[in-house]
This record gives sequence, C-alpha cells and structure tokens, in this order.
Amino acid sequence: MMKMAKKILIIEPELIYRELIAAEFSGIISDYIFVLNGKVAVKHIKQAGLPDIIITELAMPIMDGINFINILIRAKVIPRQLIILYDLTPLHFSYIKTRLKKIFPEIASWNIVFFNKQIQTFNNLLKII
Amino acid sequence: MKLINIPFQYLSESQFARKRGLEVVEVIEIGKRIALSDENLEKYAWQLTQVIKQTQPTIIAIERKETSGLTTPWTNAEYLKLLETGKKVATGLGVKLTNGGIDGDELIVFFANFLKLSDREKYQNLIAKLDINRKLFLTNIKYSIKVKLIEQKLHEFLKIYKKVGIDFLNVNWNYANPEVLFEVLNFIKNLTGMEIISTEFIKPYDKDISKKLLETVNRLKLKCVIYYFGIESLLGEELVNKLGKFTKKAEQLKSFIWWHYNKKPRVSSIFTEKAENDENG
Repeated sequence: MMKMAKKILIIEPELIYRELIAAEFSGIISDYIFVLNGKVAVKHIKQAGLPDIIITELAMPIMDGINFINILIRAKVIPRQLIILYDLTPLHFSYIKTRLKKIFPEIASWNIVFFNKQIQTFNNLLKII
Repeated sequence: MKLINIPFQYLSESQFARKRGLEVVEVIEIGKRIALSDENLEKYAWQLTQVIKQTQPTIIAIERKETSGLTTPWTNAEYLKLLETGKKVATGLGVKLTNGGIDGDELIVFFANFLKLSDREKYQNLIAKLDINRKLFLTNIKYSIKVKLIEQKLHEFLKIYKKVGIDFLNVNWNYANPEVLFEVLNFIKNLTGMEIISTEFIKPYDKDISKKLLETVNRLKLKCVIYYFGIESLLGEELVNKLGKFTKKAEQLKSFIWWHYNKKPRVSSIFTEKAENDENG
C-alpha cells in the first residue's frame, strides 16, 4: 500500500485499540498522534493546528467525544474528515446518531464516518482514510 | 523547577471539597523528566508536602503517565524513587498512597497470558467473552510481541508497587464487561494481596450493563471508585425533561451540591443549558 502524508489525530482512551490502530498504520502512515481524551485533543489542536483527519471515540473520561465536537462547533472549526469510533449496541448507536444530528445541526455538512469497534476490525480504517 | 504539575484550580477545588467534608483523592502528575539527584528529590518531597498540607487528601495518586502506553518518560528506577519519596511524605502526614492508574487493558492482557500458561480452558472462556478487537490482539501472532511487552511492563510495575508498599492498587477501567471486570480484578487482588481502587472508572451508556458493573464493583468490595460517565454529555439528557426543565433527579443533584459546596452548581451539559437559562429568566 502507498504511504500517506496525512496528519492524523486519534482520540482513543483504550490501550488495545491504540495498539491495533498503530499496527495498521505501521509503514503506511507516520504522522499520527494518540491522545487519551477530548480535553488533551483540544489542547493539541490549539498548539499543533487542525490535522487532516480526526479519529475520535465517543465514550471517554475527562472530556467525551460529544463535548469535543461541541467545542469544535463553538470555535467554528470544521474537521476535514472526522471518524467517530464507538462500541455501542445498534439500538443505542442509532439513538445517539439521531441525537447527535439533532443537537448539532452544523455537522450535517461535515465529512463524518462512523466506525463500530464491536463489529469492525481496524484494518478497515485504512479503507476509510 | 516544578516537579509536580497541579493547576491552581484543582488545588482550590480540592480544598473546597475537603472543607465541606468530602474525602479527596489528589492526583499528583509528575512533570518533565529531570535527573533525580538527592537535591531534586528533596525539592519534590517539599512540593509534595505543600500540596498535601494545602488539600488534606485521604489518598494521593502519584502518576507518571503509566496509563499512556508503552513508552513513558521516566524509567522504572526513577519512578520507584518518586514513589518511595511519596510514600515517606504521605505516611508522615497520615495520607494513603496509590499509583496513577494501571490501564484495564493491561490487566486483561496480563490475566489472559497467565491463563494461557496455566489453564487453557479458562483462557478460551476468557477470550470468548472479549470483543472482536481484543480477541484479535490477544490471539493473532502479529501482536504477540506487543502482548509480551505489555505483560512485562505490568509485571515490572507490580514489583515496584509491592516494593514501595503502596496502600492501594489503582486501576483505570474502561471495558464494559462485568464478567471480565470481576475475573480480572479478582485475579489481580489475589495475586498481589493488595486492596484495589479506581480513580477512573467508566460507566457505559447502556443502563443494564452499567447496573451490572456497579453490582460487580460492590461484589469486589473496592475501597474507592471514582466514576466517569462514558458519554457524559448525552447522559445530561436525564437532567432535563421534554419541556426543557430540570427533572426531579436534577433538582436532587442541585440540592446535593448546594449542601456540600454551599454554592450554585455549574451545569455544563449541552442539554441543561436551556433549563438553566429558563430558570435564570
């Protein structure tokens, strides 16, 4: 596979998922950074600027993915591509997806992909990117 | 030279909580790596003493970013020195000591590896309970080096904690599986003989699983657990009814905060903003 020169910020609190993502990126994507929650991600974007892709989990301690998206909207920052990771039951996910669109009508025009960690393995991430 | 990073806001919040009769766990974040000379260790001990005197915590959790993955700026030998100094200071001031928090996934890997070598059937049962990605990580040869590294790293950490004699073993738990939680923590508790606490325990969005996790925490008799709501901003919905007003639960929460803190709660949820604005006219 071709090497990609995209900058990627990954907000993922769980160690095994971070390791699996890093293994898939190995040799293909080198410009990526992991942070453990939304709060650290906001700090990182303020310092390093907006990456090409943001991959974020929804459920996190300190600051969750929804509050993180809220901060982006308030700061009028539109991610070039946002990949939302989740491991919810289909019923809960469908509810949360509907709620997200209702709370944040702004995201209707964003480039968003949802990624279910319960049924997809991380080699599928590269296909999305 | 600042060896400890604690924002002033946190110190004042801890003082406030303590004065209102709440017990405080103060997380001590270690700053940038420097040479740990005797002089620097003395400065660190002095800074730690000041933080404890100001906040009067019940427990201090000395964090060296052991939760941030495999690479950490401080070596094990240095972390041992920081913990030993922390133990001396904390004991002198009548405060309990814990680590910053072992990642729950590290414990799962450690437990799985133990079972793999000792009880194949139990190992297979554990693997069957895990999600697709954790299963893949533990069983695919591609990740075996990483699995070994995680296991070795945790083994080293546990040796350090034992040597220092920390009062509690602190675990960060984020996996919404009550059975795995019980098996893993029960194993670690028996293996180390240490009391377990969690200063970062994620409650999932699913109410049934959340309830079962709480029951498991009670079964495990964990001494201290600080819960985070995984999707906190959406759970804020429970605080507001369909008309956008605060629910009974929200009013109870407000009363609780008034009682403990003697001040109006600051509500930051996306959902509660409307109710808050309506209330303020």
